[in-house]
Amino acid sequence: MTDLTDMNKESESQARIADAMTAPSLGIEEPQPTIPADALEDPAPQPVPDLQTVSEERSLMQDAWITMRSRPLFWISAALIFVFLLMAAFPQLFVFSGRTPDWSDLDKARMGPDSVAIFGYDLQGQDIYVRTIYGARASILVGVCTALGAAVIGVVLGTLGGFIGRFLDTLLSRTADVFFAIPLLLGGILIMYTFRTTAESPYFVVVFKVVMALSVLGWPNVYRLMRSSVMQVKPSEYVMAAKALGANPLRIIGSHIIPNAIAPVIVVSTIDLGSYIATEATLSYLGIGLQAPAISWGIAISDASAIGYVRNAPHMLLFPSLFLSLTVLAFIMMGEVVRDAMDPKLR
Amino acid sequence: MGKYIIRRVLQMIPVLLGTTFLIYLLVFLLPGDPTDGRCGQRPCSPEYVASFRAEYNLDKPFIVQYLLYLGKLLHGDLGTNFYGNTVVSELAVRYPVTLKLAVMAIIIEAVVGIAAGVAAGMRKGKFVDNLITITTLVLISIPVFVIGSLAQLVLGVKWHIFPVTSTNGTFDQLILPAIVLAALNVAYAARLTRTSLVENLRADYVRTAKAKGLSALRTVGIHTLRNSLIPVITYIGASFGSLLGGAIVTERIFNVNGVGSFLFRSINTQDGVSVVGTVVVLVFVYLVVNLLVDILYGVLDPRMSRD
Repeated sequence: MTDLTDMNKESESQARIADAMTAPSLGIEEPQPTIPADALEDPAPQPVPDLQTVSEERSLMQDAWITMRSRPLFWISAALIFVFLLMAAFPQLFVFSGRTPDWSDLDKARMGPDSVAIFGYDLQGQDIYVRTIYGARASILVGVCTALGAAVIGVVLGTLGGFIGRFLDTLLSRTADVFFAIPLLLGGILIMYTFRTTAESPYFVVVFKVVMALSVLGWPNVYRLMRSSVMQVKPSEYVMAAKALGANPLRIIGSHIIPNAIAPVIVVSTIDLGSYIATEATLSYLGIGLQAPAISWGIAISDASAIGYVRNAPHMLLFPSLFLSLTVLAFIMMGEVVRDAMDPKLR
Repeated sequence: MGKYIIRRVLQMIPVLLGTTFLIYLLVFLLPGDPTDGRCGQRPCSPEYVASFRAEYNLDKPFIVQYLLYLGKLLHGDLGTNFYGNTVVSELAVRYPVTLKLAVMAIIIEAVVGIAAGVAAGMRKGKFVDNLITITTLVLISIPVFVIGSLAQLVLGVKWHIFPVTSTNGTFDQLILPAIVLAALNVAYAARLTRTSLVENLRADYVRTAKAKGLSALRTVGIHTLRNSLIPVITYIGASFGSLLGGAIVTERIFNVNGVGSFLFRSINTQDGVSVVGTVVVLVFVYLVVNLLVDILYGVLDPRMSRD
């Protein structure tokens, strides 16, 4: 579990290891000095000796930011995420040929790339490049909204359960167990079939349904983390001090508990965001997520993955798959960089 | 230990009740009339609709329906679907195939995942480590249906290494689907093994073992690995759920006649009884597997069962 005190402990032990490095060897070291090698190769050298003053002046977020910005992986994933967010918000910025996603020329169906359509044409003779660009919106919208939705539900209930405890905690935890017991994709399929969408359903309604379905199934993850994290923070001195000074519970929760307990939630939400995007694509692939007039990578991959098409026109499958995978990759990488920055123990 | 197991089993009961209720509620809400299309082109006669609804308890209030269903469930009766076959018999035909697929996937996941994780963890920061970390990252990012379609094309259609589709679910027909199904979890298992191993290699007892002069093989193989694998085993057990979900996609791509494709077909034909029955059984299996993993966890790490 990510624990704030771990950071200090861990940095201390790193300092000890660093000390051991400079100390004269005792001669009983194995030929492969695994531990010192680790300590040397840690990517982010921190000013270890100043730790005491540092942790007083900087918040966890500032510390995390300083660690993150020195890692190339952070900048790569941040750049990818920025591009995909831009693509989702303003797809027209990326289209230079002037074609709309509805543009089609049946004569060109399944043809390979040419000078205008650099990714080739799909079944309907539509420009795959344009449709892939416009497809970003669905994935990003579902991913971001679901991660936010699950985080909000999980944080609110987790804080309540962890802070108030007793009967409420039992009730919430058992409820979370029930939702946790239904695998994400299985539950997603069930919910999407119950609240079925048709080709006529408005775009945002369908997106909203997918978001709701995945948030309802995803919140127990956040809830469990938040609850245990709140329970760790609750007995600390500053909370007691705030209580003794007469701060009301809402203020204690808002300005002491949540800021100190939220770190693991941020990490898990970022990593989960990638898997929500993948699940949305899978639902659309199975034909029960977004439906045909809507543009989505999942639908495009589903259309292209009939075996005859895969054999003769693999470009139809390749490009949407590539974009989908890159998006998922970007968010998972970002989540890992954030986790490493907030929890040095896992480095 | 006995107390721990009993507590675990008791804890499972409310979860099971909650999930069956939730699933039943969801399917009960399924829009559309189940008698639609049952009488050819014409609408069904009111008498037929009434007798149909009575037979499947559709005329009673929801909560009564659920309780009646639960009562039957306790007797191992999952109901009879709208085609007149019992769900149990439908599942009995298909379960062995999916079970075979899932077990093969779990074995691949455990063997490949742990081996790769140990290889990476032992050489942290070296080439092997980076290679494995990047490979797993790529595997995690590519959705299972993309891996499935590509594997089918390249390994099945182009290179003829594996059968393209499955006809009767024999071992050789299931190898490729199992690899595809396991791909994602292999990546997670490898990363978890690596993280856990790296963390444990820093522990004091490892330094002690080294200081005593134990060989590197023994230090890692006996001392560190045993402790490092505990979270991995938990993960592999928990990953069973995502395997069951993934099986729906994988079975569809490779035309495997298992529980996943049955569920998908039942959903498409709005065969509510089959959907509820199948999902309830899947969730039940998932919970039992998790229970077994928890008990195993208690055996491996005595601190867990003592509190």
